[in-house]
Amino acid sequence: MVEVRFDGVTKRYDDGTEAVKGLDLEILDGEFLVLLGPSGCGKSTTLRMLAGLEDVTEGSIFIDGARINDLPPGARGLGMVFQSYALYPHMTIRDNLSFGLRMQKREERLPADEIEARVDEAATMLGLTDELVKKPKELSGGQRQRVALGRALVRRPRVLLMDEPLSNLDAELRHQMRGEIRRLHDELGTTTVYVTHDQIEAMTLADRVAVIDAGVLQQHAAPLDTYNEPANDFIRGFICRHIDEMVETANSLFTQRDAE
Amino acid sequence: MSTAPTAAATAPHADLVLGWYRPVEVDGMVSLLGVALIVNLLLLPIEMVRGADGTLLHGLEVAGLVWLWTAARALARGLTGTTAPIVAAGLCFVPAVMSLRHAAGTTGIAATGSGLTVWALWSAAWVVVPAGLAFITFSSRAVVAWSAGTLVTAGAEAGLARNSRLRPRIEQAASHAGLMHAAALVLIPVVWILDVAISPGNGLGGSIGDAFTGEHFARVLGGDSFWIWLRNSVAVSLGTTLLGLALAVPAGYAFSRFRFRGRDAAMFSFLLVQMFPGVIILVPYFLVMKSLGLLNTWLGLILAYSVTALPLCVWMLKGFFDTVPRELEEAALLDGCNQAQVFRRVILPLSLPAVAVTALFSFLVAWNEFLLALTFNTSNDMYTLPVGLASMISATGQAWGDFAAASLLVSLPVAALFIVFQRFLIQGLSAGGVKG
Amino acid sequence: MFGRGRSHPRWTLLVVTTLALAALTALPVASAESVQDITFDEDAAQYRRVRLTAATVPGAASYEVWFATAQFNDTAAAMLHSTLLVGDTSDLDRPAAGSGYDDCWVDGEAAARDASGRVVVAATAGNWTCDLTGLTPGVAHWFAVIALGEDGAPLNASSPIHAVTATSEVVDEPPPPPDTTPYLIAIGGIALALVATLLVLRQRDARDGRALARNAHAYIAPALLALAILTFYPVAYGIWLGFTNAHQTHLGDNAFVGLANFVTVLTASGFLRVTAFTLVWTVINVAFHVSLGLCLALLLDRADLRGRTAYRTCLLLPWAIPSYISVLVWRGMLQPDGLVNDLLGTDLDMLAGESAAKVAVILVNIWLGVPFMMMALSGALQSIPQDMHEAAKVDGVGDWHRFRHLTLPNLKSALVPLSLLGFIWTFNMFNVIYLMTDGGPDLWFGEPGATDILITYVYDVAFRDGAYGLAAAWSVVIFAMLVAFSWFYMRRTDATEAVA
Repeated sequence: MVEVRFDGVTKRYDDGTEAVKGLDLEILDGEFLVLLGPSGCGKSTTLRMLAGLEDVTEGSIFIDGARINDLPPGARGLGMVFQSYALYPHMTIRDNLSFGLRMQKREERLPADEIEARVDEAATMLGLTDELVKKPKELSGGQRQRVALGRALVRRPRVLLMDEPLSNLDAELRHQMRGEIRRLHDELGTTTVYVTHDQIEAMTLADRVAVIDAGVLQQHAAPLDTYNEPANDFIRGFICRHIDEMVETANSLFTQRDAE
Repeated sequence: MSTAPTAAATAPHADLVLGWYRPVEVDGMVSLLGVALIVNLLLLPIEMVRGADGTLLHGLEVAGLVWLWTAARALARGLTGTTAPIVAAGLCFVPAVMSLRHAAGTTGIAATGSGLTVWALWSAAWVVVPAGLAFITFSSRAVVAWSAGTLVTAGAEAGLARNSRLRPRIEQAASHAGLMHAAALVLIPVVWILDVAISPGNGLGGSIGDAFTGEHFARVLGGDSFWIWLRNSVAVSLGTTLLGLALAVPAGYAFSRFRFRGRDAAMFSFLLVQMFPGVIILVPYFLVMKSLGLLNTWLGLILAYSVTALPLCVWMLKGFFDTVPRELEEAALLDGCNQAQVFRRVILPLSLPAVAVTALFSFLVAWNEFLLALTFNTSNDMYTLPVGLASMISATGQAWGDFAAASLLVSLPVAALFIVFQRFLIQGLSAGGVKG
Repeated sequence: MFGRGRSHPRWTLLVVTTLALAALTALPVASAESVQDITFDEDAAQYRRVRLTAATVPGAASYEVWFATAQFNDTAAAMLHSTLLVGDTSDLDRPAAGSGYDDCWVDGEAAARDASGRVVVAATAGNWTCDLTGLTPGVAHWFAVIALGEDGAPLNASSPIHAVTATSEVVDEPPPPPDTTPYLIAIGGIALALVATLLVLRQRDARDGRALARNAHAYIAPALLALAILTFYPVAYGIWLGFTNAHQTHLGDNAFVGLANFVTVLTASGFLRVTAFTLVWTVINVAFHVSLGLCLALLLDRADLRGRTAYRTCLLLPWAIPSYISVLVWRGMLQPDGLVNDLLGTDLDMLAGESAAKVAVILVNIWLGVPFMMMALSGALQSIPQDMHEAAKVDGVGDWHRFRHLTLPNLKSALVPLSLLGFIWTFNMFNVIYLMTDGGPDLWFGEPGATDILITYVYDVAFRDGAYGLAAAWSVVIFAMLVAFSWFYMRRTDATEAVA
């Protein structure tokens, strides 16, 4: 039962700017939550606070009822996929995947054959078996993205964090990876927190979506609920109108085609 | 006391927090004691040089620190309680205090009266301070509670919060301590030479800051030699800069802009020359210059220095030209300028900063060079500053005071120039050079 | 015996004549035994030296040459210039003129020398000639030669000293530069060859239709010419010199001696010792430069460090201050009455003992070299991507492991060329050794001193002994060592980089 809870979380920088203001959010066990919002709204900061890479100025974050504010990132049992993948350029893919497991303290380290087994498992799951001996620079963008995913998954994390993982890929690949990510989530059942600015990704991937603007949570509901029952003008503009315009453009293209 | 955060099942919260929590002071203390141990081990040979009593006491200090460090590490791993390290810390004080009293009792060499020299104080400090900090740390409430295992979840959580507050401060303090030692090592000679320059008499001796005089500066500036050397250095350095730039600017431009047959070979030959050590060409250089009558002249050194600095200058300028967008030149070419006009009217004005930095670099290379100047110009009125200054400290007569004054006059402007422009110099050097 | 009666003038005459004859025969011997007849060869006078010839005296065990700037008739008013011994010369060396001592000849042949370099004249020799050096030019000097007996006292103590005068009028003219034609021909040849090559390349480019680069060769020509004439040519000339017997005393008159110089170098008794110390010196220095530079770069890397710029500026000082000044300052600080002894409360001359001097020069060079490494590694540290570290943090990798497995491997691409550069620079670091100890303490006569590294020893051979050919051979050997090392180093690090 992995529940994540944000309780009045605020992030304030030295110069007074507030990236996140009083965030209250609950993420259910096994849920796929998408943090959606325009650039600079504080969604990445929220994710990084959960990961432990940023300090929490006010409020608390709980995982399973345990307050983790000051716990070091490595102790929280999380896995994270970075936007830039952050692969280790000088290591093979196999070493990339097994690095975290190999560097645990001796008392907690898994035996070597188990580490190998997990790496192979992740590689099979993500279709990377042929790439294990190569180095990151020999891989395509999509493959690197999958390595980043695999690295996060080998540790069997309690919560999987993803920071705009698909934004560096082209449209076709993005489409394909979206499906894979959702499939993996359904297969493994890991609680996932996914950050994006793309409304379509949010709509197609999320169990629930949390829309943030200027550090303030605007609405937290299932995707279609935000479309059908927008909580405020921002949602209306950002989600409803955006989707409507897209459908309109698609329709007019179809009408043109049918007319020809 | 540890859990596996990578376990698939969620770990009970209490175990998680308690398992991960360790007061950051403990880790910090273990590191500090390790460093203190290494420092004191390095000081041991110096103590041996100073004398037997000091060695014995210092040996005891080292032994105490070894025990303290081992105890601290055991504490960090949870193998012992806090009693052992506290006792060890206390015991470390004994030889340290004894060595201080011993030093105070003996007579020092310099006019400090007692043997309580800077050395004695500093080396004792490296035992007393770590041991004292260890004593305080290991007897603090937080550490004792943690070590005794009587911590509850709330206490561990509070401890974690404390850790995240303390950690940056401890790391900062450690950084400052390390950097201040390095800075002291660097500044002590500077302070000393300042003192020698303004102390009366041409010998050494006397402590820092006793008497002041301007006699050395007066003698150096009033005599002929310094001005002759200065004149020679300025002439040679300016000549080197001008000639070097005249050679390097077109070459750097050509390497950057043009693709021509032989480009790779030419670039490689510049690189190769950069690697030639001076040793292989010193003797033939000397003989060629001698036979051409260029010894004891400005031209000889100018030629030699221009070529020494040439590869690096070409490298720096090429790196800079690479960053100038070609579109500017292409626009000028389309406007009807020919290549030479483009170079003069578009490129040169833009590249003035880079040329200035390269010029500075050339100038400094020539200004500071010693070996070639020593070999080529052997008569006093053709000495450059380096050779001239070195001649003040020869086997026959050592005029330390005058030398110090002359050194300050020479090195302060150079160092100031260097520091003000260091960022550009380093940028320029790495633009083509070291990376990858 | 003598009869009474009339006086016998014939007897008196006989006695007087005998006495006179005895006196006559004795007198020349007596005067010849103490004061020699000496002559000067005006034609052979050179700058600061005159050539003296004296006849030998039977019974002399040694000769002393005395001189003063005024007429003297007592050695108390003069100074002893040289001493020549009389003895058995059958086993002794006869070094040729110009070997570094005052040149002397006995009966026209090069004089024999004993182990300390003093001239030994055979008892049967007729005369000896010596070049007396060290005289003030243009000033008249008076010379006298005294023959001494076995006991060290003049053979005839009562014979008066007559000093003879000689002046070295010769002005210090540098010897006319040896014929420059061969050099000019060589340089001209190289220049022409280079220009011709560039023209040909330019032709080919034009033919291939690369019009835009038309004048590229003209742009690089001056720099390449300078390189060719002032670097490649001296290198080639230096290599050639190693095969000749070039020496200061016969400039321009070099004979090809094949591998003789190289054999001398490789079999010289100090060769292994000076090479070993050079390697020890270099390796220890580079190791500390890199490690201490890395430590300081890491300390300075913290973004939140207050006073970071101030620290960085301060730590750059050893690089900013001209190195010869820093070295001399340290030398002063290490004197018995210098700062280091003051602080330690001792009275030691740090540069006098063999090991102490070695440690001292190494420590000073470390002080000099760390700032450059610190700056270079600082730049390299900043170019390492940071998100890699964040990913490792989330994965629970500790600080030390992150440094060892993430930072260090990514620094390797900078560390490899930096350490190679450092190795080459330190290997040839002339200033520190020359200005701190001049290679001393000098415990082995004629060999490298305790702190000599290869380049300072080459300097001594070339410019103190004047043996240019031998020095050039040393240089070639050193260069070969450096090339071999660099090649192996690059091979090894490139190979491991390709695999890793």
